[in-house]
Amino acid sequence: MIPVAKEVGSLRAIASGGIVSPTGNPELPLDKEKEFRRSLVLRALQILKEEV
Amino acid sequence: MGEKIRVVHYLNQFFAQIGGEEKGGVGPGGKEGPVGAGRALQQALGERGDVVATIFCGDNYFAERQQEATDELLRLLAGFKAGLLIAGPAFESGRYGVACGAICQAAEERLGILALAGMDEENAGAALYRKKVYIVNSSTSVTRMVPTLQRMADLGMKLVERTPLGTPEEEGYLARGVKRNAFAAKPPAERAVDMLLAKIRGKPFKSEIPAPKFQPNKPAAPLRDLSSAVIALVTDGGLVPEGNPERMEPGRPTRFTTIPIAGLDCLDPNEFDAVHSGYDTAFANRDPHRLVPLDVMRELEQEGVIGKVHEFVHATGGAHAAVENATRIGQGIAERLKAAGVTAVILTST
Amino acid sequence: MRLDLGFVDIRDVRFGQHTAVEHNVLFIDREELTSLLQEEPLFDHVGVELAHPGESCRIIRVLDVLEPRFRLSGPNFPGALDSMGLVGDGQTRVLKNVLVVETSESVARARSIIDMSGPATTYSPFGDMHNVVLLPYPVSGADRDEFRLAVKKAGLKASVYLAAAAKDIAPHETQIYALPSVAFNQGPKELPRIAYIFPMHSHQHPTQQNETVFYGSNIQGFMPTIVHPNEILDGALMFSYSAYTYFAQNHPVIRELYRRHGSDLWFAGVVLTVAPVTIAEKERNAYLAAQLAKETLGADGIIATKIGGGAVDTDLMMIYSRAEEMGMKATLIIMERYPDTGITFVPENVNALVTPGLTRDAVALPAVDRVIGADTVSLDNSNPDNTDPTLSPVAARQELKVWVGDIVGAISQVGASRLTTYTS
Repeated sequence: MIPVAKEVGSLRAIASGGIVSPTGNPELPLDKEKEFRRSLVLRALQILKEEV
Repeated sequence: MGEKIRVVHYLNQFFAQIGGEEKGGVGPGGKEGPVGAGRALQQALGERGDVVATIFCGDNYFAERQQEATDELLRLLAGFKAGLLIAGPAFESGRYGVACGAICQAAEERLGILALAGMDEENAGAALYRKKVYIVNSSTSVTRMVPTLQRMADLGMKLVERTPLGTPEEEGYLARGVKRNAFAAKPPAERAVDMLLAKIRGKPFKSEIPAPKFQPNKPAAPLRDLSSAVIALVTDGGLVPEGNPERMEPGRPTRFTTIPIAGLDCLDPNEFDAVHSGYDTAFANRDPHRLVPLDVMRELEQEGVIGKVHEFVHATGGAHAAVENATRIGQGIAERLKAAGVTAVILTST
Repeated sequence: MRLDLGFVDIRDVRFGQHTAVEHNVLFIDREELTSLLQEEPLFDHVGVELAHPGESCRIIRVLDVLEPRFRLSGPNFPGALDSMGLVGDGQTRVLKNVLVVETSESVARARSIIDMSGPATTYSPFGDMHNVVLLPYPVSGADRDEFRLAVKKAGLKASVYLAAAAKDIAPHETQIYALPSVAFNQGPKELPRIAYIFPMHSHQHPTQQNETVFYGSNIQGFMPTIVHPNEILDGALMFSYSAYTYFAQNHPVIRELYRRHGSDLWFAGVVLTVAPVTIAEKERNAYLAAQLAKETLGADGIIATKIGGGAVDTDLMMIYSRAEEMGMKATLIIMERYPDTGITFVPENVNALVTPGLTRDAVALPAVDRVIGADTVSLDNSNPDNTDPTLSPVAARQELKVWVGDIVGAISQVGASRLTTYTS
């Protein structure tokens, strides 16, 4: 819910894998899902290094 | 109706006719009968009540010694056998407004005496006390003294008689932030069409739900070096140890839980659950990494991309959280993380 | 398309030898109805009870509520009950003042209550109607989710079975719903064209594989599309959760737009959509829904409602913002839940919200003589806000302190209620 996060003042926010699986994607096979999770986490870590 | 209500009036040193700013250090005291504007309060009450006494305190004294002042004022209040306390109006005087709010809250909570205050909406006392104390909006202008005292007297009598109150607009008090239902003259669909047509025609309309105002945050400075950072995982998706031993609430959370993960490379679905009323937790239950990405974080830790994963996952179930509770939970988690030397957080939210 | 809803006034409902409508009384052959419903293999047995307005009677564990209706030709609830076909055109008989109420001890919330008298009737119209209550029980080992779908289907069956008894009765009142094709008739220029954007479900609680929501579809991956409003009124839609199907059949926004069609507005049509679970999909659906309203329906303004939880406030705000960016005016109807939070999320540009009420406002329901649906309800009678799942059950017939939102029919997210809210 990025718009909600920004509304309450949390500016470092990236899109998750969805409401029922924020750091996952149940439609993917397990190995692809893990890759997706890894790329999401790496993006989050990248944002932590950026100015907002 | 019953007997006349015994009303006590709280004033600061100025309105109690003791002196101006220079007398702000005057300690608490009381005398029988109304003083100054208290006479207008008596008129406003008419036959319904008697201003049996006036209690007062210097604004500086109250600000510097709130506990002592409050204790003494409550003692006086009890001594005068008050049935209702009316404080102010303080208009835009901040210290006076805070004192009014404080003494009213104390009177209610410690002595069970009905109380209400008056001050301007922007008074610091209003921000602090409006949720707990009925505050009549006096505006900033002292010329509003008499009509304000009338409103205060009328509202006070309604509280005494337990008459259901009208809306804040009708009664003249500051909205306390508690929503209630009211029966409407027209059904919602009709009101929505009316509102839309007014909007299209450029006519005035009023939205029925005011937007909540959030204070802007100052974001933390960026992390300089990931490879030495201690990163904590936090979630509002309701992660709990299997069986939910702390009985974490599925919604309306009032607290958070601290889950130890030191030595764990991954979250075994047999050891963890997701408890949350606002989404289908089946997917997170089958693989908790869909909620808290510990597996990936451990890999990154081993690869040296990040310094360390913090040894606790902090979690709560965020469905329908009251803003005050959510704020408190967030602050509580932040304090613990800060004390543990954590420099960054990944918060996963459903 | 023209839908003639023929209302047959029913003053009483009783069990009798044959199911028939005679002199404004609906007689129900209880055995025939229960046999019909017991054809469902997942049901061990089904009870049928009657509750009448004014009785000291409480129905709890309500799963869904339907108005008994029967289409004189063509399928009833196509895709969900009968085979596929279209609805919204032709004559439909309605048993006025009768409701079919599905209850279940196992798959419905305990705190969903219809009281036939007392303060609940000031909030909800359902206590003022004759309720035919279905009580199905599962065979041992029945899958919970499948059983829930079977209960919902039983409601459809009962609704059609009962209303069929009125098929040869001349209606006491006929309401005509006729909206011409958009392509040929946009109405006079001075009447603003209003479209209704309708997210009918939120997949934060995903539908089951064989769940029937819209024309029998499980609406997973549903993209915004245009439907005729009569289809919503005439049996194309069953709500999965969070709203009672009665309010699709009697959709308050659709009926209001029809009521004023040609007088102070032109009803441009309905865009049907869903609230998906990722931000990207929510954005896409909002863009597409607004585009359909603007470019295909030619709307000057839109009203949108929601079904679902706080997450769907985001979808509505997106729909609002996209609509206004495209030059349409927007108004939203959003139900509030809690006295302190109201709704989750209101961006600064959103200035037109209507509230159908606050669900978590406390109300005391007095003790009753009779309870249908179950004997107990898990409740903390000193605090309706206590939703601890391990609360001990209390007798359902005693005085209950509950929420206004627990009263079935009091507040519907699609905009039905007798309420508004204020900040006290």
